[in-house]
Amino acid sequence: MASEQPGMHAALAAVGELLEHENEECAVVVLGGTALTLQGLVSRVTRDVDVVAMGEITDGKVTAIIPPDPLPDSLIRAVSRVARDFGLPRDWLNTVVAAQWRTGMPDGFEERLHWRTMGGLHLGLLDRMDLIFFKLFAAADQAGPQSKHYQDLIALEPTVAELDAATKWVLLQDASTAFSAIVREVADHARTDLRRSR
Amino acid sequence: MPERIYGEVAEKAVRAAAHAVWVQWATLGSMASAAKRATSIIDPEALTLFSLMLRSHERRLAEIISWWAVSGAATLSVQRIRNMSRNLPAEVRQGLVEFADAAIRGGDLRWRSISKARKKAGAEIPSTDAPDLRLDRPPALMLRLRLGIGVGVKADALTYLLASQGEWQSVKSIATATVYSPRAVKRAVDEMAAAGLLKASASQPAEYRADITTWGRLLHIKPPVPRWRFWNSALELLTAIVEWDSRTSGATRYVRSSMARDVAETHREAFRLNRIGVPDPSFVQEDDYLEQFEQSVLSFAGWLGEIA
Repeated sequence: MASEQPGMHAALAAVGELLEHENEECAVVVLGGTALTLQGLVSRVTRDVDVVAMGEITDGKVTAIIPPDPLPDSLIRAVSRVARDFGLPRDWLNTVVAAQWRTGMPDGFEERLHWRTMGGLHLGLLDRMDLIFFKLFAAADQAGPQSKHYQDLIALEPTVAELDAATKWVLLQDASTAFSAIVREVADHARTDLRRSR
Repeated sequence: MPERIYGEVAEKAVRAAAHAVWVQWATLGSMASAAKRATSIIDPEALTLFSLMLRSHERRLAEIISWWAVSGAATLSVQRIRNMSRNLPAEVRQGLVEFADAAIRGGDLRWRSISKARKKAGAEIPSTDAPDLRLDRPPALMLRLRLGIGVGVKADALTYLLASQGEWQSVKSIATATVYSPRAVKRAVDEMAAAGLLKASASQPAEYRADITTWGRLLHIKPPVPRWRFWNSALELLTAIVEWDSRTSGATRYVRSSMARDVAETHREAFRLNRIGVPDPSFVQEDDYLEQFEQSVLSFAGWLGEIA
């Protein structure tokens, strides 16, 4: 297991402390490098936090997953304050990947989320299986074996069955022939690399 | 008013401020006595507001404020004290209303705009054993000039220029120091320059200075004139420190540090104007700023202790 990236963890913990101090609670679902490093699945420097969804909270528990735009004011304030205090870019926590809501998320991803609570911040981390889906998607989008997404995909060590399932899901996201070819090529490449490393 | 419990660092700043206020009152000849005398110009509105703020910490100030409301209210600018109180805590503004009530009972009806009292009650006569206001000490220059010229921007601008030891000052710096609007300051200093009471530079924008040799002879003050201190900025800084202490009591180290940055950034000018050297918060990240801020507060407390 790789170790967590401490800078981003500390920044998220700081957001949680600020929210708690203001008697506020927020829940966000995170994918990308932060979800990988916080679960110790990959060790690399993460520069930002990709928020793909938000949680509705009732009595301190997340009861529903909803699109993340707009983020709550209390969270925006805390993120902005942490950016100042930690010397991070203003958009270090962003919803750029939220467009994924429109094209669709893997079935049942909500049930597989791993929740962590940091003060007033509930952090939903995508499960390893869902991260494989997204990493294959991103690796196909940003082609080349040196891409960080491809490296992350390999680091997740997907089985053949997991890669097949991921390929099937990614192909649903973009029906173009050119993209389908790239996805299959990346998946084949990954199978080869994984076979060699085992 | 219940006495507040402060954290260690804020307590030091409050205690130093209470000492500074006490020394200033002693310099003005109130019933306060102190071994030390004030060494800088006493800003009467800031002193009044500081005292209202600190009366729960130093209970003897309540008695002095009562004396001051009768003996000194006429030397205060109602408009200026109202402007200066705008960002202060509700209990200070409430204290100012009570002060205004007392000033009206003492016969000064200018305070009606602050007082909640509908009409003047029977005039409050100062007790015969109440001490007289002492204006002969150099730190009382601002009050002295107000008595001579009138309560307002001209007396205060002249005080600031004399306390600047004859240096040229812009309208902006005079306005910052005296807490009047730049427009009011410009009009006042232009009129005083036209009357030959001040010198105006030929530069654009004009700068102004007071000849301390000539004024010193007239006022029987030997240079150097006590220095100007930006008491209004210091008052706002102390308020912010106390609020920070209260709001973050029991908070995590990071939250305390983050909110300390707010204070340091918002009140950067209070440190700069009063020449209190403090580290720049932007050079320190995460929660490491907390110790630096606490050191800055201690520097502020030290400044209060030195320059009272």
